[in-house]
This record gives sequence, C-alpha cells and structure tokens, in this order.
Amino acid sequence: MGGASRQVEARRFARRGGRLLEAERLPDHGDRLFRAAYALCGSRHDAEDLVQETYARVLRRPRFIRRDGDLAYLLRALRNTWIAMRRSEDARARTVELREEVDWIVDHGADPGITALEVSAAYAAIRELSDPLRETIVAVDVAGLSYREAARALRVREGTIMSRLYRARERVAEQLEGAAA
Amino acid sequence: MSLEAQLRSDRQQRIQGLLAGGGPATPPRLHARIAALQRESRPRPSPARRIAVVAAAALAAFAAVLVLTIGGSTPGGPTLASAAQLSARQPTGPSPVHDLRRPSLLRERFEGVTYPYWYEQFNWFTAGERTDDLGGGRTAHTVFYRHTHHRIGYTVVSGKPLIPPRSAERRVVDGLEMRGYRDGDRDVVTFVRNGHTCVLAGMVHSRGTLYKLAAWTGGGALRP
Repeated sequence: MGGASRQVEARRFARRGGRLLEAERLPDHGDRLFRAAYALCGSRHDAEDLVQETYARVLRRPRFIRRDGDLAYLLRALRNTWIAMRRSEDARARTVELREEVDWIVDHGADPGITALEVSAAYAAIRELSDPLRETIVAVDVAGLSYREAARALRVREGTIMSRLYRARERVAEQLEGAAA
Repeated sequence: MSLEAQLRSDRQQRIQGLLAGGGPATPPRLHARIAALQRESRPRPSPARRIAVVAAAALAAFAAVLVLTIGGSTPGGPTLASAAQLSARQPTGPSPVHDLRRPSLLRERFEGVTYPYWYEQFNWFTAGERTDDLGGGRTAHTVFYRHTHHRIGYTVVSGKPLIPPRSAERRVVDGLEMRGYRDGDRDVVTFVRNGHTCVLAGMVHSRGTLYKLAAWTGGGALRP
C-alpha cells in the first residue's frame, strides 16, 4: 500500500473510531514482549524467534486497530504466532536448548526486596502452569495489560481472567514457597 | 478481612510485584532484528519515483563504466573491479532479515543466490543493501555486513561470470574455487555461485576472513 492510499485508508478507519497501528513505536514494546514470549516458551532461543516472527507478521502490512492499545494488539499477535509455531513444531523434531544464557534483571523502581533469583524462580513456576493459566498471568502480570485488554487478547470474559489470574498467582506462590522450604 | 484472606491478598500482590518488577533481559541482537524489520516495513517510494531512481542510478553507472573504459580498464562491460567497488558505497535499503526457517540464511535472494546469515557463526550482522546497474545489461545486488568497525559487501552480479585478474591467487575450499586479490585498500575474494559472480570485498584484517566467510556452507544450505 502506498503512502497516500494508506493515509486515505487511515482517515476512513479513524472516522469509524479506529486508528492505524504506529509502526514507529512498536519497538518500544520489545522488552515486554520478549518477557512474555520467554514466559510462554521457556527458552531464550524460542522466545527470540517468537518475538521476531510476531514483529515480521505485524509489520508485513498496515494494521488498523479499533479498541486495543499497541501492546495488547502485539500480545494477541504474539499468542497467535506462538500457537502457530507450536503446531508446526509438533510436526517436526524439536531443538532442545542445552545452555540457557539469560540475564535476569530487576527493573528500576521495582520493590527493593525483589531479587533476580526470585524473578527467575517465578518464571520457572509459570512454565509449570496449564496453558490458560500461563497465558493469563503472562498477559496481566508480565505484559501489564488491564483485565479488559487481557480478556480481549485471550478472547475470554473479564471474570474468567480474574479467576484464572487468581489461581495462576496462587500456584506460582505455592511453587516458590515449596522451592524455598 | 480475615487473617487468611489478608495472607492470600499479600501472596497475590507479591507474585504480581515479582513479575512486573523484573524478568529476562532482552538480547541486544533482538532489538537489532526488530529495528531491521521496522525499517523494512516503511512505505516504499511510488513506482514512478522508483523508476526515476533506477534511471538515475543506471545513468550514473553508465557514466562510471564510461570513465573506467576511457581510463584504460578492461573494455566491453562491467569488470570485477567495478563490482568490488560497490562494497565501498553506502547502503540504500534496509538490512535483510534472518530466515527463521532456514537459520543459516537471510530472507534475501538475487539471481538464485541466497545471502548467508553470518551472525550466529561469525558475529557479522547485516547492515543494509543496495542494487546497482553496472551497464552492459548487468545488475549487481549487494548486502552489507558489519563486525566491530569492519564492513564488507557481498555482491552478486547478474549474467555470466566475470573474469578475475590474472594476478589473483586461487584457493579451493570444499569444492568452492575462489580468487583473491588486493584492490587499493580493500581485499577482494570472488567465486561463482549458481552461475553468477559473487564478490566479497572490504577492509578486513586478513583476506583469510573473506575466504572463510565465502566457503561457509551453512550446514549445506548454501550450495558451492
């Protein structure tokens, strides 16, 4: 699509309450998306591929979004890509990563009591959750979406998000306490 | 609120705080890949403008060949030297991206030659591309690679293979015949892939680097 026709299309969509996804700002979400991908895949290599493939898909053509924020849209695309990649992986041999070289960081402004070790243990606990619980905790706690955005991204009701999130956090907490005991 | 409810609430907040407050650090190369994808997605110039740019490039290339011919270089079309000199020019297009389905390759192909992905193996990352008309009906497509402060160009020239200088040294690795020589301050290694001349050229510590890169088959994904 050329620049002029893209502008016309964007104006038409804006009249219906939508907007064009701003490609220039998408890289700002790279870190959040990588964390979400890592929490879903449990492998640095797979997470990198997943994020790259998500960006490749989203940037392939202009995207018009109606209600979502950019991050919510990206997370939905990430989840769809993850599902597609898993399907294709089932059909062929999986590569097993023997050496995980991931640096764990604690963000500025985070609770000073948090350590990188605890964060890494929490991610490991997420890996043990069922898919619905894992996707929910990733959408809300890792990616930082609101309940409403997460519900749209995962195509479930807000109430379902709240109950799944509660159970997911409980399981993660139990895993951490079990590991510490 | 009962004590048990309070404890549960604290646990929930603790997990939320943990996951929101840290995580795995994003590998720097992923940022580079995302930036490359973003550059690639930018709207391309309109067809009319593209034709004008190609015409201007063709005119410039024709003038360059004319100057080389008058100046005493090999007459009768593009030379290996003119193809090698493209590595000194600036890229005009975005960096090609890594092909996830074929990990040793880029998603970039010209005249049936697919460009290699050298980052995993050699730490050379892509740094843009350009296409030039060399005259005589020949087109050259160059992908640039960077490693620390070094930059090289991998140029594929359409048409029949170009003739290397007689003084060029010959080296054969795994069935791939390569010719290497010095052109001013740049090292040049040339070889034929899929019936077309491929030229690796740039300022490197040792020409051996260019031989090594040229001979890499990517586990068989790159045909000799």
